[in-house]
Amino acid sequence: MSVDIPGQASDVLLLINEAKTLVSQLYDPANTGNPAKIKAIQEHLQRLQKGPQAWLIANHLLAEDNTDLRFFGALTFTVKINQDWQHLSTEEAQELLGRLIEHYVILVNGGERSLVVRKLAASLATIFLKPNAPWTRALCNLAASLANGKHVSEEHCKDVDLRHTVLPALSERQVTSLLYFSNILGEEIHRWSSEARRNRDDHPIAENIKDAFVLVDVVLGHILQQVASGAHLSDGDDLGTEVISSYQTWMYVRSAFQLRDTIPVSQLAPTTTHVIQCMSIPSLSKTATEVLVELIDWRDTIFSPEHISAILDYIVCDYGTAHIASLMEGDFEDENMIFLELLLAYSTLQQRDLLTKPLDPQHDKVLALLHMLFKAPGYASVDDSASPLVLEWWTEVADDLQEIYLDSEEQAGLEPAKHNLARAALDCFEKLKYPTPEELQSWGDDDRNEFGAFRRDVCDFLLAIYPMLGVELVQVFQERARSSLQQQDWRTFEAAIFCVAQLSEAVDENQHADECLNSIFFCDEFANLCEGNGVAIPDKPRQTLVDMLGKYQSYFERTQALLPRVLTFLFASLNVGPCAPAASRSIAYLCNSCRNALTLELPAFIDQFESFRFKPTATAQTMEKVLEGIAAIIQTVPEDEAKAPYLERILRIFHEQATAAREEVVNGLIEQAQSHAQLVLRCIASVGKGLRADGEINLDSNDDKEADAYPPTFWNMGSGAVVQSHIMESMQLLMTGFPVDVAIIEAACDILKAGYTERTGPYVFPPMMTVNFVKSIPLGSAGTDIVMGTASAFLASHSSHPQRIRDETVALIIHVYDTFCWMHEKPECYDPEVANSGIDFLTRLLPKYHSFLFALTSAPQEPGQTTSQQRPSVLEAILNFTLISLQGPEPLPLRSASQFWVSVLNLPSDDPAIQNAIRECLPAICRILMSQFAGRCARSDLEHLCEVLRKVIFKQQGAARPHLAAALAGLDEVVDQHQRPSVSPEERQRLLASLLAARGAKMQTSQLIRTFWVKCRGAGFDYVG
Amino acid sequence: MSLCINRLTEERKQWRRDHPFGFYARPHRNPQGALDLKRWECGIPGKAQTLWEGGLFKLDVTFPDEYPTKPPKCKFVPPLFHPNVYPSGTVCLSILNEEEAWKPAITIKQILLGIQDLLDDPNPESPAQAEAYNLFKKDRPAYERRVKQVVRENPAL
Repeated sequence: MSVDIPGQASDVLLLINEAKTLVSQLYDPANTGNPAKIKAIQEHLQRLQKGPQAWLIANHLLAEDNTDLRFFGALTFTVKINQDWQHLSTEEAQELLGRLIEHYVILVNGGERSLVVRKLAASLATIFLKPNAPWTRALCNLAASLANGKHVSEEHCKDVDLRHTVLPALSERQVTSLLYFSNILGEEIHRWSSEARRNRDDHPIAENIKDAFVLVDVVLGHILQQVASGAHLSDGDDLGTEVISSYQTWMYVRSAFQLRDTIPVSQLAPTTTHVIQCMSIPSLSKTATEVLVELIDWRDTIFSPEHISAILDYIVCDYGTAHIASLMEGDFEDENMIFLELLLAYSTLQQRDLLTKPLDPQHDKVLALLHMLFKAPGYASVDDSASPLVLEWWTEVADDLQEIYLDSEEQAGLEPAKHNLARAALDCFEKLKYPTPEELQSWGDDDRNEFGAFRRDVCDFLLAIYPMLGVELVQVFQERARSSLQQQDWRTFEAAIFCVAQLSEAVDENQHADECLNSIFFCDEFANLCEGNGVAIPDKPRQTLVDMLGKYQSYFERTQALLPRVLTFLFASLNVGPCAPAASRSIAYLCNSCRNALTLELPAFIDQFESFRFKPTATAQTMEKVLEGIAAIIQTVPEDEAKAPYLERILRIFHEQATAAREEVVNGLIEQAQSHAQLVLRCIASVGKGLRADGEINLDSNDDKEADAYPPTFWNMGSGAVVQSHIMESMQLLMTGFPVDVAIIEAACDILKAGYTERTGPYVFPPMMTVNFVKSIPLGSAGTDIVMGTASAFLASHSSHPQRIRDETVALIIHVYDTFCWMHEKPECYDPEVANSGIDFLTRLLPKYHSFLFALTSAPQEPGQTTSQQRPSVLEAILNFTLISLQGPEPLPLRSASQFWVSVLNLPSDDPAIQNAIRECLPAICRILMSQFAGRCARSDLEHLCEVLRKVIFKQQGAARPHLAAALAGLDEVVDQHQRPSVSPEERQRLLASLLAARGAKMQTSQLIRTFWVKCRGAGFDYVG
Repeated sequence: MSLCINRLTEERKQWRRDHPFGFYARPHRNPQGALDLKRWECGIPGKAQTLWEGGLFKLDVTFPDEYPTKPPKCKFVPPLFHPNVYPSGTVCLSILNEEEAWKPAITIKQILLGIQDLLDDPNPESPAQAEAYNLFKKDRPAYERRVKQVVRENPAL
């Protein structure tokens, strides 16, 4: 420290004045609107605070008249201590400490504002935590200095009695300032301890904990004595709140350092009693309650039975329950809410006893409060903040009781618990009622979200109590649903239906609640509601009912007599905006799963569809669901001749729409035409999806493998052909010379795929149609991956008889070959999606169709194409392209190429065509893999390339060994200058030996390769754990 | 209680005490009503002022026995159209990868916020599904239209 160095005085004075000017500028209201200037001032001040003269500046500023300057002086000490502590000698450190304590005493005695005192307390706490700080019993030492009016060295206050001598000598102001320091010291120690694993032996913490609790105990005792003698504590009582937070802070320290032994619980008991008593003092009640709630949640052993009983006394006393009364009047202010938290924390300690045992009057009252709390006014979460907390408590209790319930053999003992849970369910039922449309208008999105979240929480609670209450629980809501339906009390009906809906998870699959459900759905009022007979249900309950119907699909499958009325209701709900998506989903599901019971309804449903399609809610999303359902019913019509008219009636509509979409293109309405086309194709596709036969279809047959892949049927040659031609023409209209986009392509693919799993039907098209479709998609269109996925699905559908579609398969392979050659010849046209989807297609065809691919050892001869004469053979071009992709920068082609080679290496080893091809490519594969592993590829590529390496080693070890060795040896040439691997030749040999020894085992291989990659990349690429 | 269950109990407590607005996260309850702490059902809202605003996306989070030494697996149900979500719905994110940036101190809240960030800020370095990735790279307007459709199909309210 250089506090008194002569000669530099004038320079220092200049700096001090500079600092003073800057501080006054910093707080000058004229500058508040000028962030740039404030920033510049702050930066300047920070330089001064870290500069060599900062000790002197700080020291001077602390003695100034102005509070801002003194505050800044204290702050400067903290900054400088953090910056330069290690440069101070022991003597300098001691001098610094003495000087700061001196300042502290003077400022406190001079009536300094708490802001400055706290800042200086922070500087002192900073010193305490520095290595080799010359301070052990910091609190006691500061207290003694305050009592003495000036700094007393630790030497001189070794034997002082803090409790009986020092503290009684302090004024209230001094005690408050001591608590400031105590709090800040405790917080700093706690933070310091959580930053890293600290060794508590570094600092004398235990002694200070004892002193801190002596301080708390004395001050609390004093306050309580004052209150007992009738003194009134003011609301802003600093001493009281400060001492209670000090209690909490040092409790943290005590537990953070496992220092519970330093002060046993018994020794803390009187202090804890004091804190509990403070809850009854109005100005301290909130702070004390907060601290106690937190400590109860800790489940530490701080509380003795006497403490617990004192807390209970407080909860049920008039002063405590007055908070509940306020909540019931809609006053959710903090002091009432914190009391609620205390009640819940206490009740959690006693939860099993509260619900299962006979209760004394006090606990009876607690339980009554827990039930009553759902009755506070207002909407949960939106106005009423109490209900969500109470609900959470009940849910936790239910989870806990469930555990005993499941284990317990004595169910009778749980009757009171069941009774209480059922009552809670009814209590919160009222809270579920949805606001009226008028009320809802004043709600923001946040309110709706919060209320929605509360309703979800109630659903969770209902599911938690169902195992204990069983069907009775459903019955309760069923009764409410029925009676409210009779009275057309729609808000109650909505809430009841909501609850029944939530319980579907528990009862839909089994039949436990079928009788309850019957009682709702077979009643006349429900029939009238479905048929719209004089019953006008508002939108919200309709929406909830539609959702509920969707959740009881198994019940309706079992109860098919209800289907006509329920489906009528669902069709009617399609016209109501918020209900349409859910209604269309339920229609699709119920028609699908109960198709056989609905055949007779078919004409009515198609009529309903015809009128629905003109409504504003008839979007692609809702229409395709409805059509899928209707088509599923058509599938049940036994005769093709009878099916055809229904299909024709529907598909003719879309054929007309396709023509209309084309018109729109002619008129320049491109976007409109595109969305029109999407709708048409998605609807046609969903009809195809619905038509698919129910259940598993076995495409495999033992008939002639060479037979015709497309025999004549009713649907392509007979009178059903008109249906098929509607579909094919619609596709033609919307795919050829039409501004196709990815959504159109996707829908067209779905139409093709609809027939792949069928043996016969209008969606079973000539095999060449798929080939032509694939070839018609312009190179580079978005959606190529979907198209090639469809081509793969086509091959998969014929995989039991590949020979039947040999020509189509070869045409598709040559199409891929053409795209590869094209991209190879014109690198500017390279499209990773085309590359990836092409390679992926080839990979998928390998298992069943590999012989076609490996036989294509010449270039295709196509008349009029001159380029094809120079092109390599199909097989060669394809294999080369995959090798290039294996080393390219694009992640997806790299992955599909890896997968391709894994599959090739897995092919039968007795096929000479395949083995020749592998033999020729092996050197290149080894070279590419090793150069990629040598830090060239991205980390996320490693796992994919490793798969190839594993297969190479496992399947081709003998042949691969020299190539791998050569590839490793040649790394320096292939890897560019910046990434020259820093691995010695010996390490490379060791890598190869280890890889071969691992014989392709997954964990070992990938571990070896990862280590190698990191080594080549440099350690900076390793993840730090 | 095992370390895994202890930690999950604590996570649940923390989540109840403080969770980001619009999110939900709770242990799965089986049809018998019992809680399974190792499987959580979560909801991630799209961030305001992004394409994803207004959507709420359901996520299943499954914790292995070795949690928190090993990360949980996060899976969108149904699978989500997004460049970094696998066709199965599993999320590809470095903090969820044991060999990458997973640390035992990462909380459920941080995971869900991380996934929310990922929605509007995909990582083109590690594509997980070809469909969304290709569209994202090749035809941004079509990608955005598709995202908006996904949002409409998964409304928050």
